[in-house]
Formats: sequence, structure tokens, C-alpha cells
Amino acid sequence: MTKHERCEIDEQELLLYHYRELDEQEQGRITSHLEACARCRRKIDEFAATLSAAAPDEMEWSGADQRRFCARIDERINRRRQPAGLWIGGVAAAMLMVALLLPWRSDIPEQLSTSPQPLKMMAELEIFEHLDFLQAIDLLEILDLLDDLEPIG
Amino acid sequence: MLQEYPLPMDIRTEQIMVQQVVSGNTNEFGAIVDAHSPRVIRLAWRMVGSREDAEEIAQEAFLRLYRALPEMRGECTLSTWLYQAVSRLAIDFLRREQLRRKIFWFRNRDEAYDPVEQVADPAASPRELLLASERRKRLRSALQQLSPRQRAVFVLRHDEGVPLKEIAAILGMKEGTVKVHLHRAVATLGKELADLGVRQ
Repeated sequence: MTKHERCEIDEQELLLYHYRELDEQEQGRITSHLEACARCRRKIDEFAATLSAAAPDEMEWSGADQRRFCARIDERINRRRQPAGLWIGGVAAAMLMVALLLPWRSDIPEQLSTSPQPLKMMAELEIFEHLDFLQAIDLLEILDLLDDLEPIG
Repeated sequence: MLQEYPLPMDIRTEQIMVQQVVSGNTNEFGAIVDAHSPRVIRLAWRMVGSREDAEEIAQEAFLRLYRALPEMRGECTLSTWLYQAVSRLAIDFLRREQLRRKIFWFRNRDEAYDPVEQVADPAASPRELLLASERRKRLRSALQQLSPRQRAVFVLRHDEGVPLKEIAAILGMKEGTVKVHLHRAVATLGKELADLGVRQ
């Protein structure tokens, strides 16, 4: 916060005044102050100029855009709802097939069919799949740190 | 929350629609999307600056809302819930974009074609069109100088007119932190847009 040399009002307060975010009493105090302080008046004018240059544009959004957007959400919701039963059925059928066929496969070495090794390998593979995600989290944390260091250059 | 702004539907109607969606009537969810989507997409667009990404973010917010509806106990309006979801998704998106730029030094978003930018006002003179186009470019570049949280606070306060107390609730921050973010955002924009502001 930058304190002005000859008054106690800081820039943040002036900005809140501009946005009418101060309580009534504070808002009145600054209004009276502005009558006497050319420096604060200039600062308020600067805020007004910056913020008018930053006025938001309006996005073109037609009725057709609206219908397309709603249809896409509807489709995604229905896609999410419908296949759930099919997936569960498919997985159950696959498990049943494996359970029925495995006892007939005499060529599978006993050690391989009973050992937890493949399961362990699968678990390790899954960890590798999530590595990208873990790296992204690390990078986000670094970014947070950079954000926090920004004020001190 | 957000009472100062016209809600797309009254709270009682909203509650009835939510009940119907929860009991399996997905058509009612379509009506909720229809009522809220223009505001939600506009908010996402102002936060991320690209229409395509804004639509993705808005879609994700609505899908999350659909999943969350059975658990909702009327703590907030759908409008507030959606503002919260979009703001947080947009902050995550902007963080990833900033990170990508920092790591890969790439600026493809800056030059990306945005059809909205190409829409010309038929009543404007060539000079006005040129100035408007320059202002949009400068503003977009200035907004990219803000941190994701500063940009979210600025868009919610300046573009959407949401009071700071509500922004604090939407973004899960203290009100004091929101004030600091807003002040820093305006200070940065002031430096970046100084000459444009004087010309206005």
C-alpha cells in the first residue's frame, strides 16, 4: 500500500471508495477529504481512466449457440447415465468368462496363475500412469510459490 | 448471495426444478442449463479470454452441478454455486496456461484467432474500429499480466459487479485478501493501459 505524502488515505482505500465498497461513514469521510486533497482526486481520476479502458466487452452469444451448448451438455449427461449399466454388465460378463475358462488352461504354469506378481506389476504400472499428474501438482506448487514471491520481485 | 443481480429464476422455482432433477427428470436440468448458461459462459469467457475454453469450463461446471445436485441442501443458490465452480475452474485453467507459458515460452494463445474479436460494428468508422481493436488487444495482453487469482477477483468485481464480500465467499478467500488482489490487479492494469485510459 502506498501512503500519500500529505494524507492518511492509501490507494487501496481510494480504490474501494471508487467501487463503493466502504461503509457509509468511511465513504463520507473520503468524499470530504477529496474536496481538500488534489492528490487523492488525481488518483481517483487515474483509477476511473484505467477502469474505463478496461471496460468489459460483450460476448456474442446467439440463440443457436445457446441451443448447441445445451444439447452438448444434455448429450454428455445422457452418455454418462446410459453406459453405466452396459459397462457393469460387460465387466461382469468378462469376469465370468475368465473364471470359467481359467481352470481349463492347463498350460498356464501354476506359479504364474497363483502368484500375486502380475497384480503387483499392474499396480506399479498404475503408479506410472499417475506420474504426469503428480508432476503437474509439483509444478502448480512451484507456480504458487512464484506467485507469492512476486511482490518481493 | 448475488442478490444485487437479476437471478435467472426465482428461488422457489429453482428449488422445485432441483427436486425434479434429483428425482430423475433430466429435462428439468436442461431448463436449468438454459436459464443459467449465458451468464456462466460470459463469466468464463471474461476470465480466460477464449470462447472455446470458456465453453469447456462452463460445460464442466454444469456437469459438476448435475452430480452435486442430490447432495445440495439449499445452502446457496444455483447461481452462486455455478459462479464458484466456474471461478475455480478458470483459476486452475489460467494457472496451467501460465505454467505452460513459463515452461515452454509459448504464446500461441496470444495470437489465437477468436471469432468474437473479428465481429465489426457496422455503424463504426474505420478509425473507431481500429481503436476498438487496439483496445481489445491491449486489454487482453494486460489481463494476462495478472495472476489467475487477481484476474478472477478483477473480473468478478469490475465486469460482473459482484461485491467483495461475495467474491471472498465464491473464491474461498478472506475479504482482506480479495481487496489486496483487486488493488494489485488495478495497479497492474493502470501501468499497462495508462495511455488508453488517458485517451478515453
